[in-house]
Amino acid sequence: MGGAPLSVQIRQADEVELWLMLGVLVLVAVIGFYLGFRRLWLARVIEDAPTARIRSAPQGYVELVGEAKAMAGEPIVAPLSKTSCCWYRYSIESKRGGEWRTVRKQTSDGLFLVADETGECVVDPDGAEVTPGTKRVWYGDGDEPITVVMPPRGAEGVQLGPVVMRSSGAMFTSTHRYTEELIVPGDPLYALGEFKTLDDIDHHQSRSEMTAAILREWKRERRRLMDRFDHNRDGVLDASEWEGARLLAAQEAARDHAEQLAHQHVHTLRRPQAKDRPFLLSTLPQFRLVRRYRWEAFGGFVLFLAAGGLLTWISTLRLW
Amino acid sequence: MGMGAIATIAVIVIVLVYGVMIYNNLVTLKHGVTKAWSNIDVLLKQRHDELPKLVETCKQYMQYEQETLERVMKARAAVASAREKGDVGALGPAESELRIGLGNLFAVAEAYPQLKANETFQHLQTRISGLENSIADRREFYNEAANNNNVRIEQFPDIVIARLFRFGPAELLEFSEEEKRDVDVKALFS
Repeated sequence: MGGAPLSVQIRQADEVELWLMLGVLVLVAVIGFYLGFRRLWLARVIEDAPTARIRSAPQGYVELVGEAKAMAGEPIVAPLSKTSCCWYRYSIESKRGGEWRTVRKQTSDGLFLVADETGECVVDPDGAEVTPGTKRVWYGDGDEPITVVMPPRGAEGVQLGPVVMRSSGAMFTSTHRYTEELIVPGDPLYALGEFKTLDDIDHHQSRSEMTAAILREWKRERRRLMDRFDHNRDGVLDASEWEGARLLAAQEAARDHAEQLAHQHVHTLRRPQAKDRPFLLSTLPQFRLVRRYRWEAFGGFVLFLAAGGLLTWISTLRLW
Repeated sequence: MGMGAIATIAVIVIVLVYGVMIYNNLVTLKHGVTKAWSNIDVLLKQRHDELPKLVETCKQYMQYEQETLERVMKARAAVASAREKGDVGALGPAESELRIGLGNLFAVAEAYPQLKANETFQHLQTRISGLENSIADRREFYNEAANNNNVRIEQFPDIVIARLFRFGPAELLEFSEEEKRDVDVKALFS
């Protein structure tokens, strides 16, 4: 049967083989159809979303364009290359029977920032479809990539310079493949998701509470309090002197309160609750991301048409 | 059923699904423009509420600047009127007038050190300037949303669905050239 034309092979195939073949083709056609329209729709969503500035972005589904920045505090370190980054995704695969099988994989869910010329916004990448600009693939022979050549580390053990990865073996002879994708600080970032400004006014004291706290503080240092407000020097604060102290404390509290108000807003971007709205993060510029999605859509439609055409052809040969 | 018939059905299905996608997309764009307008409206309302406080504070110190203050209040009323009617065309010139008025007011305030030192004035000036910046940003956001809508409804194949279901263009919010010009401080004090 090996050398016979395909049409002959299909005519001679048994029922189980035929239905299996048709099943696979239907599945491929459906996947191609879905992929085609999904990618086309994503491209249109990106094209149609107006870009907001962080300081004035409306609450809800928005597009931000800026630069990735790491948050202050504990840095995010990519497990394979030990590079300090904003986001990572890695996989370790081992070769078994000529095929690569995943041993371990992980995607970072640590928070980082997107910054434009007007402000910063905390990004929670959980659930995002990420298109990172940096992808490294290298090969070795263990469950850990021991062939990474690393520059000196900083005081806290964080990699300071770029990491150089050397394959210990060739692509075809190595037993393990390591893949790492990164968003590093300074990368341009395109983000589309649910923008929310957290107002932590509830965590701040009211002006009267702040006034009372300032007065309590002053009372602890009685001598200084008397020096400042006991104007007639009789050793006692009378009603008018106490009112003077209270007014001054109220002014100080008003200043502190205004300062708190100025710093109370924390902008966040996360996965939208509505399932029909994509959450996208990409280091590619908008037009390249759109182009990529359009090509993927084209691929999906080609898949659909090829599988659909084959399905129809086989059906006409055997079923009709 | 022949190959041709199946191919025709496949093409019809694709065209139908694509048509539905375009229709939904145009609906999203239309609502996006409405939402972008609401986003400006919220800030215009906030500034509308702050302006009388600013004018009242200024009145205490600026007895000889009634014209400047009146100009601000008149422009404020024009912006409010355009805002309430949802009239994008009228909002542009009214907003330009108000910005010029506010620019003049803050420039003139430089000549009144006591006013400049007043905490309420400082607070209101910061607040209103912040709102102005946000309004400017959201105007750009609105115009981008409107432009995206207008481009889509003129592109093929979207134009077919847009004409069929009467999706119309959105008006851009434009400020006049006069508003973009710097305030002539010298002329104010001459």
